[in-house]
Amino acid sequence: MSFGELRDIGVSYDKKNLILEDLNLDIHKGELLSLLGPSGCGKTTTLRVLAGLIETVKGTFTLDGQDMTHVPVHKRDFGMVFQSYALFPHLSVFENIAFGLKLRKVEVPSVTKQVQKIVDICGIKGLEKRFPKQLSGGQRQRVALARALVIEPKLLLLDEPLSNLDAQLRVQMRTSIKRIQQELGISTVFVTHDQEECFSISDRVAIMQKGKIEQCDNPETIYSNPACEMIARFVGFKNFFSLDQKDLLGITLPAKIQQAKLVCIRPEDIGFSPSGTLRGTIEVRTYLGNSYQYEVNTPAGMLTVSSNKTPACEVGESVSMAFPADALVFLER
Amino acid sequence: MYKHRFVTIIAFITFAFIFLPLILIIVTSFNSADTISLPLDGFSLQWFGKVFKSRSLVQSFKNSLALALVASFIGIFLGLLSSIALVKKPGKVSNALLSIFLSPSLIPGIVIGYVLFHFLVVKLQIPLLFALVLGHLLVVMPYCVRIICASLKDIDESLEEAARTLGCPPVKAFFLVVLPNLRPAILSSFMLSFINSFNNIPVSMYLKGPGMNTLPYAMMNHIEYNYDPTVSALSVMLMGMTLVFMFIMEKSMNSQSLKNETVRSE
Repeated sequence: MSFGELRDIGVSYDKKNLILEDLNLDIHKGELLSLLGPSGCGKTTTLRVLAGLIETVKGTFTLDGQDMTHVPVHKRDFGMVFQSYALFPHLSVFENIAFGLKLRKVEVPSVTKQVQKIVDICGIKGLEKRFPKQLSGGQRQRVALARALVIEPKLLLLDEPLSNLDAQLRVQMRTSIKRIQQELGISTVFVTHDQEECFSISDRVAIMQKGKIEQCDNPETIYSNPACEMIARFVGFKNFFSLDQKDLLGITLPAKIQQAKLVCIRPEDIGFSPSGTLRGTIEVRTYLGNSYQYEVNTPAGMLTVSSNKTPACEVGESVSMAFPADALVFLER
Repeated sequence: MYKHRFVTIIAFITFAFIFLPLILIIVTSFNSADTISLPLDGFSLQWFGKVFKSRSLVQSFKNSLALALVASFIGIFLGLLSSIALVKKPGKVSNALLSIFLSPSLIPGIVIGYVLFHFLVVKLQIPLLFALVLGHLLVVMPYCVRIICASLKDIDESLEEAARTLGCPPVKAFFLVVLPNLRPAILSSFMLSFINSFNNIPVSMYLKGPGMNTLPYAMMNHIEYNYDPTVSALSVMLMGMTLVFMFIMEKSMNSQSLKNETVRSE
């Protein structure tokens, strides 16, 4: 049994349409699990279910063997960082961080010590007396993280915590989050719509679409073995063929594949070679810096191929292409 | 700074229009003559003394003060509760309710007074004091609802949620996190409510009665029969009171906005 388990979760705002439908998710101890998907896919809803901010219509949530489904938010002991940070504007940074400790009736000297410790970890030393309005975006982010972490939560929930930061700071912050998360060994669920951000720091990624989890695995597996066409497109596959076209491409179905609907390949895995199995004419050539990307018109449709072969092929040139068997991915849906 | 002579003149005339009458009142209140008149006869503080000797003015001042305080406090309390409901459950019903809450500010006070007189005093025989409080509550409610509602909408909903995730039960979260951030709104509702209730004539006019008069009306009565500077002296004291009131408000607002100052670092 996993550390945290969501089983058959259903959520509906209007009692007619389900936002989440029979959602199942496992959270392992100490891991950083990301929920990734386009906006409206239900990833934030899932996070709010974990936090207890949304009532479910069905399903259960257990954590560490304990049924949490109907435990109210304030008794869950989870830390949450909101997209807007939600720092309390009338309290100083110190008071913001100490908020959760004071509610737990921790003694004053101990509060000071614990706040000091987390302030050091989060790198916001010297800002304790400031008010949230006097902080920069990155500092607010760190304060929000410190406030969630100081209560030593069983689970840390992050709702698109980096989306309000500029690109450079985002890369820096995601590394900090990963470092702090590892340092404290805290199980974390991270919601994002940014694929790069997600793959770079997650131990596992759950890709969501329309209220369902399409695939939940480690980033490497998702990258090399996407479960469906949506995910394949998401991770950079550009050429999709139906299986009827396999003779046209000159490929054979491996024995271990029982059933498949589609086959796909990345632009960089298609090779130009005289012994290629498919011929086509180059229609568009774009320069990408370290390689060229070609749009090739073939009997199997328009293909996108990138190649760093020199000299570069010219528009109108006829080429033949090979499809290495190990680069082909067969999809069931 | 760019200055245009025409703009300066307009500004000067406007300020003169606003402040000259006030200055005249202040000057005449220190005059020893028996009527409000210029030129001045001599310096005297007797009219200030007269104010405190007039039982009707002193009593009506106390009435108005109590009325304005009670109406403002009830108005803020009800305004707070209704704002929470309106903001938490937005929709057609809430919009309609908001319009109803704001409607007393659109209906002429004279109509409200007349209607309340017939309904509360004649039909239901409600004691005058109680009727006055209800009438003034109608006067102040629109300000409270409008200001507190607008401010509550501006407060990030996730503040409350954040407090709850940190271990705060819902009601406590409201008191610890939302209410402190409503302080400026509550202060300004109080200021507007108090001034509007204290100044109100049309509603009070219908609902006042024997032994239950309000200050503005008592002042009107006074100058109807006496043209002495007593009312001038009283006006000066009211102006002073307003200044102190505004000073205190300004101070407490400032201590709030200090926290909102943005300091650039990094």
